[in-house]
Amino acid sequence: MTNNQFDQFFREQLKDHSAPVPEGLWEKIMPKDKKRPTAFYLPKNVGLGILIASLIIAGLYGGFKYEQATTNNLVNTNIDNNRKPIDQNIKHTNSEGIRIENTTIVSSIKKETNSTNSMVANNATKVVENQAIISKNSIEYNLANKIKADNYSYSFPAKSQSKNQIKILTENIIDNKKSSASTTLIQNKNEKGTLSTVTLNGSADENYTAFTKINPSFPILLNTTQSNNHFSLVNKTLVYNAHDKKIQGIIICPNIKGRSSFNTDWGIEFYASPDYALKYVSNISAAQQYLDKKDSSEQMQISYTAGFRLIKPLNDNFLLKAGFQYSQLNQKFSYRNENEIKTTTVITARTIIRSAGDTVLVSDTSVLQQIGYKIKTVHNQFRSIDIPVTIGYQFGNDDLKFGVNAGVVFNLSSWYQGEILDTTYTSVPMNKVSNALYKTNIGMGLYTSFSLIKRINNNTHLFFEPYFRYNLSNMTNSISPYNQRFHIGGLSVGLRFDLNR
Amino acid sequence: MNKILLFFFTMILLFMSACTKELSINTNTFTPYQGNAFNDTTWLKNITGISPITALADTLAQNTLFTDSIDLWKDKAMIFGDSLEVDFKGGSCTNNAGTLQDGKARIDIIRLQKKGDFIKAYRPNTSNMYLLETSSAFFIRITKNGAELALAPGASIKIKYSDISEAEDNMQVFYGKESLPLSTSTFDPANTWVRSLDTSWIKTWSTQSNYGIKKGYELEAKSLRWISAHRALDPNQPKTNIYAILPPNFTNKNTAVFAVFDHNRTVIDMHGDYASRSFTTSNIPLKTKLLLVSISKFGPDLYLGTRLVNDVGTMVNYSFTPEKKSLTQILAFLNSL
Repeated sequence: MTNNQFDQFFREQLKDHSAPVPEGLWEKIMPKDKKRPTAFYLPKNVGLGILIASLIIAGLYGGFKYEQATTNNLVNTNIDNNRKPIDQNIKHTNSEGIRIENTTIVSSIKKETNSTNSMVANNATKVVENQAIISKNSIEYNLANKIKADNYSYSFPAKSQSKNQIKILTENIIDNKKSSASTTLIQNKNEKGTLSTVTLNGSADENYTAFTKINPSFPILLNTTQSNNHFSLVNKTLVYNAHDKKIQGIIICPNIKGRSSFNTDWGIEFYASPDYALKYVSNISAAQQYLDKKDSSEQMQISYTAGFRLIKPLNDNFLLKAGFQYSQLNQKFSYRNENEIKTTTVITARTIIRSAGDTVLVSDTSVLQQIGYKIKTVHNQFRSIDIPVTIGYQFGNDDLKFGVNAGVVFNLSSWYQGEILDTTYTSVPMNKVSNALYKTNIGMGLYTSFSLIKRINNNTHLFFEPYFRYNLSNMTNSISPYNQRFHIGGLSVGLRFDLNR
Repeated sequence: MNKILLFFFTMILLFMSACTKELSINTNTFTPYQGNAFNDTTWLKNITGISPITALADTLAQNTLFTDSIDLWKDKAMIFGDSLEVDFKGGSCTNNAGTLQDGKARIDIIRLQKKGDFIKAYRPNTSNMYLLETSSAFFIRITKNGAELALAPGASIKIKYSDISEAEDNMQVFYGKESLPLSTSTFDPANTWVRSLDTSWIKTWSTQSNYGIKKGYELEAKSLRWISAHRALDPNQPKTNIYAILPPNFTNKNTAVFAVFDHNRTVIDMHGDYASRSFTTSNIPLKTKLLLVSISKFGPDLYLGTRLVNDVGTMVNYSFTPEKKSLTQILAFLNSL
């Protein structure tokens, strides 16, 4: 039996053991994530590097502290599957040094999360389950960092102790001859110079019984001074079974940052947008009076866009989007025609007298004419099908994200319906057949937007995206006496779905 | 999740359908001009004061005016062309006070021969609703220093003219009755022809000329202004009332309707009948062939309507719709009657 047998036993038995994360645990550690800045933070690799560097530094520092504490450090081991607290016994020990070497505790430990370096947990607070091996050095490290814990306790895992051959070397364990009554038994064993060996090959209860054969006063009472100096594990309890009961069949691992449940593989978003178009007209050869008349006869109205976009995240922040959208710009064309004659068919009944005493009722159909002006109102529609391609940068937390997007919009086809004022000041129809002024493809436009994304559930997000589209080309063709183009602003509202789950 | 999707897409559909519904409404709103005479369809019970009809009459008053200068104290025979001669006797004119006037004066003569002339002068051939047949009418006015003179009692002025048709033996002198004070407009709702107290037939004459036999009338008028040669149409024929029905825009405020006889030189004014919103006249002999003529004025716009009636009595109400015409077109039409 060597000093490392106990350690090796637990390592071998538990090296492949996995402890599942209890359900709902990640939501409980949300507050930690929320402390992160909502804007720019370090990329994933940099954060990982910092974490590894921190662990290395912490290890070096722990080793240094271990060397300092090897002479007087105490390891308070309490093997009690009944979770017996040891704090009272510790209180009765004085300055006698109790030293236990080569003691290794292999266990599942609940670790406090409010300290980055902590491996000791307060089971009354939010915890993270982790499979851990606490070696003496690691314990010394924790002690050196003065990690305080309450209700610390240890219990053997009941099932994992079967058929184990564990040898615990207690050689020179205790060299304190001034122990209290409760430590007498240990002292006697030292005086005899015997090497007590116990073989644990049964259940936890049997192991405990075996322990008590060589240490009937178990739990072991330690020197209070030394234990208080190095072990501030008073009232700290590690409850193994507390999470053992929550083992599930699957393991859901957080990413290295443990931050986002948002699917970053790819997604799709559907959106619709109320739009408003800004008309830009420049003169080529038309009379200014005509342009003024035309301008006064046209009034842009609320329009809309609807479509979908596929989203491919390039990393946590950058997104590439491409989609398909239908836009309809609405314009109210209103023109006043003077001296219009309106005719109305009327039927009149008259009583006429052909001669004295000869009265006849005469019905007559005639036409009532009225002169006035007509205001012709036509709702013009400028429709187009486009392919938007944008790249976006988004930031924020899982619940609320912000983003900026920019890109281009390629027009596939455009067509129009309604009426326009021609140079003879008469309204002429424009449609697919008689359209002579407007192109059927208005080319490319620039697109920019700002997005606000609110998570609805793990896979669905609601987003609001005010945007502006600047068309680079005129929609009028070469025979038009003027150039015209529309620039469009709108507010896209839609749903984004993560599709990698 | 499903509820969110359902709600979202429902909202999109509602949004798009609402837009489609709104966009489909194209309007062509007509607004009548306020105060435009064409849009005034109201009728007047009595035509008084200035109305579009007075302006119409003044517009149509395009008959030829002959003007000459005379010495009020000297005789003068004024010959206008080869068909009209007016013999003025000196010392026959008085002013409003009845005092004989002398000195220079101006004489204006308008001659109505054709049926259209009577329309242009708004002088239908009726005498208190009795129908007359004319053989010309004259308007003679003598003014001195702008003041209109009258013939002295017992004095006369002789008008010798050749007519456009065969001279009839039973023509009588009629004088035009006018409103008092005299209307400043051609349109005079009180106008009618009143037979002269001298009911003798107007003399006819005939002379041999190089162009054949020329016949005419020689009448002596004992008063100035409107003088005519008329005779009553056959009073024994059965008669009826006739009605001209025009679209509602054409009211008695803006429209004058005349019945122009085909076989007689007779033009009848059809007055507006408020009760039936139509134009009517009475005492039209049955079987008469006539032409209904309406002339309307809406602001600067003139409308002309016609309706040929071949046989009065088969029906008595005639509908027709006037059309917009120019003044030249209307005058040409009237001159052709």
